[in-house]
Amino acid sequence: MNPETSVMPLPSRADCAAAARALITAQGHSVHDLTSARWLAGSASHLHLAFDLDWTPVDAARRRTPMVLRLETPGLLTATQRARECQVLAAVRECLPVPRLYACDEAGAVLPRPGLIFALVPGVVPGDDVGAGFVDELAAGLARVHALPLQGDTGSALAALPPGTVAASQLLERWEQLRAAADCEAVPLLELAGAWLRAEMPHCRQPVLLHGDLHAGNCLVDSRDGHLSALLDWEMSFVGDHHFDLAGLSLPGWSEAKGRTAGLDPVRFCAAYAAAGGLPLDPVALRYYEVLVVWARCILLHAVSWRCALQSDSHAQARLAWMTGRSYPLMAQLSALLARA
Amino acid sequence: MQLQADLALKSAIDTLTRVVQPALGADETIAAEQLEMVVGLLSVLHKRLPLLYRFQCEELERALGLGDALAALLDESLSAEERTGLDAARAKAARELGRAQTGPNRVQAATRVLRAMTAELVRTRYAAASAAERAALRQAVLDYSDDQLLRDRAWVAAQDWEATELPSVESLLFE
Repeated sequence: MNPETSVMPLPSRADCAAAARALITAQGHSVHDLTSARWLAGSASHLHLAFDLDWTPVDAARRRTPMVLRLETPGLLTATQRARECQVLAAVRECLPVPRLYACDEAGAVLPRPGLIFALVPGVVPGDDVGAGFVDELAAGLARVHALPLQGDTGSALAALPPGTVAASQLLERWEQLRAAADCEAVPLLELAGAWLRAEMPHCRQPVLLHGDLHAGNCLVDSRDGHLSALLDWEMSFVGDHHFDLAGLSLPGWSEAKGRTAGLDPVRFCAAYAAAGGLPLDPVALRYYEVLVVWARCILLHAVSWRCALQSDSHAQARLAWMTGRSYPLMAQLSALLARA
Repeated sequence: MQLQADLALKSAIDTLTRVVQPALGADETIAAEQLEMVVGLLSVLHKRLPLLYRFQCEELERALGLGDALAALLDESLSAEERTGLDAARAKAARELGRAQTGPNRVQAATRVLRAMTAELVRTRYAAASAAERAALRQAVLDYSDDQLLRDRAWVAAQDWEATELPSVESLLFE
């Protein structure tokens, strides 16, 4: 009855399950059964299907493995490249727990859309009662990631950048391009923040590999023992100043829950990072990247989410529209940071 | 303000159609029927909302025309009370129509133009400004933004993003 839209339906659960099975098989593994296929809610940028796979991997014994199929959402301005994400995951695997990757379909040749298949990692998002062990493990893992040697051609996810302001400039340009592409109403505060960020860019002595979207919602705690279960969502990873990751993790209230800080006290985390041999911390650079992280999150919610809610083929348009409201308290946070800067 | 009727309605319609409708089992005939009605209602609203103000103004114009016509037609038979009441209602209608020369769409369009111009001025002037000029620019933008953001945040207060209580949007808009 709806004459107003010509929306494309979602791929069905059955089709996705069959495609996941086909992709695993195409890797040379033997799939005996795929059961308990169920959608996972909570993401606006990807479609997630969890399932249990009864399979025999190449060169290994038969087993049952919980997995997740992650499919790209068409039309998102923030679409990322799976090949780069795979490179990063392979590199950081030795540093801290990350989801194991089983298959990648960069172009959507087998899957209904481009996507990846990961291990389903058990755990919960850290709450206010998170233990010291978790904080120390995360800090130490992050320090190890930041210490990874960088190499590779331009275009590789691990390509080195020179010291200085190149990394910060590229980052600013990327977010300004995203905002321009969203083509939404102008916000003088965001222009002011962008101008301040350009004028106050700190010199980065050593650009390193970054998680790029570090916040409590991307961490999983093992509820049995309180240890770090995994650090998720490496698709926004890039090379830049290590203060960016620390700023992201120490800023409060990014998660949807009202004002939740998830127990990641910024002073405590920075101390743990330093104790684990992390790169030296500069308070001026940390304040700069706090402004940058909040500015980028404002653009993501105010501009990008708005445009994607209007025009993408997302399964989560209502969520994207809902999240635009989150941009206002974030902009108030940005205003407060600029007032103190 | 991003979270306006247009965005909310379109995303609701698309989500109900794309995600919720296909997920209903074949047996859920009542739910399916009601869902179709909901999508239909929302679609009508989405299509017509931009015209609502114009529709209301035109409706008032027409009602005023009838009032004027009846005032002329029944002039000699009206009681004093009827004449007073009808004159007052016609005068009020004429006053409101006089005030209604603009509408939400025009107000919104004018706001957008001004925001775009001021944002561009900030962007182009900041880099070359002296320290004092930057501080003044910053203060002007922050003062404006804090006032506006308070209203934006109050507008979406029902979404429950804030740890502290905000003034009601009604008190802010009519202070």
